[in-house]
Amino acid sequence: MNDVLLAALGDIFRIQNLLTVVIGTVLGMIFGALPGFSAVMGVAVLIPITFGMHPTAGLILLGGVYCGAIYGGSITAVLLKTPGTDANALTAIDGFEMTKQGKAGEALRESAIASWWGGIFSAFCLLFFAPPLSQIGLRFGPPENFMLSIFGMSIIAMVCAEDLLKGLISGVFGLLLGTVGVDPIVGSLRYTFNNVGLYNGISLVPSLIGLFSIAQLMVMTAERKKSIVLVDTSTIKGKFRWKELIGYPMVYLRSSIIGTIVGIIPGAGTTIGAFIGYNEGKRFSKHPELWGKGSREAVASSEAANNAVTGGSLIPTLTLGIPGNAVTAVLLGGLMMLGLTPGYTLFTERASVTYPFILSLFLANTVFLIVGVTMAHRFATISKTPSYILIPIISCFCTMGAYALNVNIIDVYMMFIFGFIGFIMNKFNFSAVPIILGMILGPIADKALSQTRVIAKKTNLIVFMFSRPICLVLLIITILTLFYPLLRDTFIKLRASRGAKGGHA
Amino acid sequence: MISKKEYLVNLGIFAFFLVAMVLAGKFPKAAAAYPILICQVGIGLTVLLTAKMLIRDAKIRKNVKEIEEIQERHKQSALTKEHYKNIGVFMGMLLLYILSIRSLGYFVSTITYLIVSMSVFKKRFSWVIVVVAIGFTILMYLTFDRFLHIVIPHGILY
Repeated sequence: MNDVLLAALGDIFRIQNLLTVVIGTVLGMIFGALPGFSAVMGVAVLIPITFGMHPTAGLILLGGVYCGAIYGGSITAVLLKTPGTDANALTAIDGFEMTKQGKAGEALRESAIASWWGGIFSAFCLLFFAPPLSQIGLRFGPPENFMLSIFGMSIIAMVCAEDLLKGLISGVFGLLLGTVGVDPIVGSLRYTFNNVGLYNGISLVPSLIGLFSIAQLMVMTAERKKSIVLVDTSTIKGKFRWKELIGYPMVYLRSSIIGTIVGIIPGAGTTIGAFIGYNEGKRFSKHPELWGKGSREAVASSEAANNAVTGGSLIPTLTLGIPGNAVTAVLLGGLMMLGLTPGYTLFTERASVTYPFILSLFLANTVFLIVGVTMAHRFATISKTPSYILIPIISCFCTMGAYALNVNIIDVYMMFIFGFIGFIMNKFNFSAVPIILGMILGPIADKALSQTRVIAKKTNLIVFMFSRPICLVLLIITILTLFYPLLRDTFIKLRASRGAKGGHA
Repeated sequence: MISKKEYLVNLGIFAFFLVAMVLAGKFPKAAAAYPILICQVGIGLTVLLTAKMLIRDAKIRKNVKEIEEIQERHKQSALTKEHYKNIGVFMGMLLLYILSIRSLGYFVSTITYLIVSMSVFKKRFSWVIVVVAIGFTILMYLTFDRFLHIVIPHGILY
């Protein structure tokens, strides 16, 4: 492994890869700093650009966008109380209070420093835990792969805890879209309507761009605001001091551990990471009374946790092909488009691509630290870009991106149609993430189920599958994940009723 | 019924899965099993969602105040005619761009689309728009075609 790491280290410090990290991270920061534009959208829009690149550079770019966007969301959260991404919602509370107190510069630096700690810690975990975990995948045959896909789909329960039924319907819709094209076993055509462009199935990337980018542009067009937000950067004062890097060591460590663990749990996501990090930070704080009133420690808690999710969420994505959250679901699509299959081979045969990518996350985090402590406020001014410029330019970029995939105009039409679908889904509170999960995991489940049928011969399929221990374990985890919203609600009710009783006493 | 549109959406989803299932019935047996299973699950979930909404509506039907509150919330979050018009204009222009890109070529269609759409959004024409449109088109050409070697659409006018 040492040789691989050394080679990867040499690879990552090539000038073109270094430039890719910087460009990816800065682009991510821009997407993160624009409220309404998410990390998911950033990765979705930029995937097509990676087709012309070497897979290593392509992955490095996407990794940089991911890290940069999660951090970038904190800039507008601090300055405008408008979190760029959901994950920065808590940063907005204390960060904006600090801004009101004339400490915007301090808050911006703290969010960059804490994000860096979180990102670096989780990248270390990814580097050391992912390779051994990927070996589990070697024990997987078709029945296990089928159950793994089902488990992957159960992430919907976490992503769409607010309305599980709608999430499941979206997921099933995605599964159905995944069946379009040539059947993997008998080779017959399904839902192609004699259209040659559909023989290879519905392309993932145009669908992603449509669902996440075009749909969002439609929402923004509806309101036609002059610019997304107005920024006053005149209150940003103060210079970076080196000792700020270790301002809250215990907070950084605690939130980083929390964020990484939350990231590993499929579907939990950066927002949950930030909330738990914030909550635990407050519990252990010497001054909890200052939280919510402009506490720098609070900014550190939520930011370290949400950025720690980045590396953590990549662990199940790279080892088992189960995305940790919405961004990694999209990233997984990009990974597959670049011809990389998650699992053991990613750390053996394709190690020359995977390790430089993992190492690039350290650099991406360092890039946003440097940019963040020196010129974060400049990114806030991006929000001033008039929407009459931003919307046409991004739609143009989306169109070219969708076309670039297969140099096929049908992909662009698909993007357009999926834009409408995404908009309608958004309007009626159906999440688009399960569609992507369904489209990625559906074909895997389809193939694995057909193969399992062949292997099982005359044995009952259910008996055959659940006589295998890994399938059984995956089934149990799937059921637990599916019932997570119910368990969570029950737990909250119980705690509330106990609290009420305590109050009466 | 508190929101007819929600029920209509459910009906649409139900019909979609039903049609997909009927179509799947025409596939060879081995290829049909999986999509049929998916459609059955989809239909089941849609029925469950509708039942859940009916129960919710039945519970709050007696409470006029709550119904008014929900309807008010729907009104506030609903898009106005003006919003739909804006979306229609945007998507119309995007569709024209998509349809023309292969015949007119990347440069002509992109520059035209950008100038027209920016002018429509800004509600007036300015030379800044022309500069931004041309600058962005060239930048994207250099990125895709020259740097990444990704083929861009070449029409009669390039």
